[in-house]
Amino acid sequence: MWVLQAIGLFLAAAAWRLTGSKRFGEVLIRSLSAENENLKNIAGILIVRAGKNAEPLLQDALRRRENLPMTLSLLADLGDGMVEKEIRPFSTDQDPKVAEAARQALRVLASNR
Amino acid sequence: MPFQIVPEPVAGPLSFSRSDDAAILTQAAVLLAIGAQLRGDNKRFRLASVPSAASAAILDEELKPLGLPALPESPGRIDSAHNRQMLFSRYNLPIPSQAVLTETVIEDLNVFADVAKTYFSEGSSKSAIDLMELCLRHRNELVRVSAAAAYSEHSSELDRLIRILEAGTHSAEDLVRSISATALALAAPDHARLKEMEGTTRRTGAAGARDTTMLIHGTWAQNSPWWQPGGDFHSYILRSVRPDLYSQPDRFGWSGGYSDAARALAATDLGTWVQNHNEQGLDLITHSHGGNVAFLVTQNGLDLGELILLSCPVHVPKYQPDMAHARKQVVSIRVHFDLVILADRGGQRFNFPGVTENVLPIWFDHFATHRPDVWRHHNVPAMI
Repeated sequence: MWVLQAIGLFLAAAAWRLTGSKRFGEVLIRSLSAENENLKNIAGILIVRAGKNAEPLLQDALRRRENLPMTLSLLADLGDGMVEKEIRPFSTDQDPKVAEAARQALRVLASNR
Repeated sequence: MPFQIVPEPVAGPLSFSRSDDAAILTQAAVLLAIGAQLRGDNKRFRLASVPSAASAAILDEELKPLGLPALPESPGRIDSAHNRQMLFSRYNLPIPSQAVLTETVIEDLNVFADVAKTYFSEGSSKSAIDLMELCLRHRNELVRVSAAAAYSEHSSELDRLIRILEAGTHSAEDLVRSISATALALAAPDHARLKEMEGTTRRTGAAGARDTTMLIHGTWAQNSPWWQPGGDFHSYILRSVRPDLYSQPDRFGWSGGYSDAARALAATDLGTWVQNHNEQGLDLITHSHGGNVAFLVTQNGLDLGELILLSCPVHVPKYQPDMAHARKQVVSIRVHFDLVILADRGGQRFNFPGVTENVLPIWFDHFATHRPDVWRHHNVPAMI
């Protein structure tokens, strides 16, 4: 079952790239909460590969506190220093896993400079 | 003192008339590339690899800045003594008798520059062999051992080259020791010095640290329980496979970020962790890009012991082990047609000397390789 869903993710990523429609990107963002680790990772990789197009969707997810701490890591993986100010407040988050992920994300962004 | 980082090699024969770090490192690279070309390494790698894999021994874009001429594969060993006599007569250099074991250094850089010029303009096997022969008497030990390493499959005087390589294994310089030990292991795998070096490492490890195995997670798994003390895979490995598995709360972890920067940072952090814990020759069981973090650690010059790679995406040459720093076996365990690796655009199999591949009869599932039931059912412990 998950293999079919994975193929669906590859198709959604291709459609996103071809049409630029956010709807396809949102399919990937939603899959970050999948219980199956394969689906979660495939969605994450395809989001990073989408590059700049993925940034607004991840920023929205961050504001909604969705899929933390993975969303923080993904934002850093895009490598855009502009997101630093959005990640920084999470470094003192009450959830220690979120705070640690935000600190790590800031380190990765800093090492990218 | 370690060599300076070289942002760009010195192109063409010019490097052989200079003795700064950039020139010395370029000379070493030229000599090692000559050895690989004469051995036909690139042809062998390309024949053995799938067309999409970047598996040439030396990539064309890396040969280009050196300005190296293409060389045909050498037919075999040449009469080195005769060749040396001809070459030394040409430059009025003293020809040593065979009884003299020590190599007299040639001080005149003009001689090196002239032979290099001939090699770069002619691009013949003969001129390449002359350059290797001459560089065995270079003042700099990195150039000497690189010449000996390159020449070891083409010279009729293997014993002489082995002496130079053995001397190189005593160098204070990491790079010289690594090249010498690797070349010695290929030319004379049973050489006593290699056993001695292995013994030295083991004794130091025993005195300074425990035998230790550690789990390294992959991308976005920093909060996953499976690899942490108390997690299912950690408990299984500790109980049934590696009783020396590190289980303290300060175990190593990394951001799990999906970027080269995150992995490079993780490799640096692991190096610091190892130093702080006085570990030497740490054995690693890695999952996914955790394996590529381990490769970066070896590239940073840290010695590792056994390296067990679970579902590691292949990104050679960006991520590949420096075998001089992987002291024991490197074993890869994976499944068929891993979909996460497909998304990652990585290679599905290693075609890299020294890495043993094991493909489990499982399809698609990137995470199956760290499941205790999979290890038990497919007898994975017997593969490592």
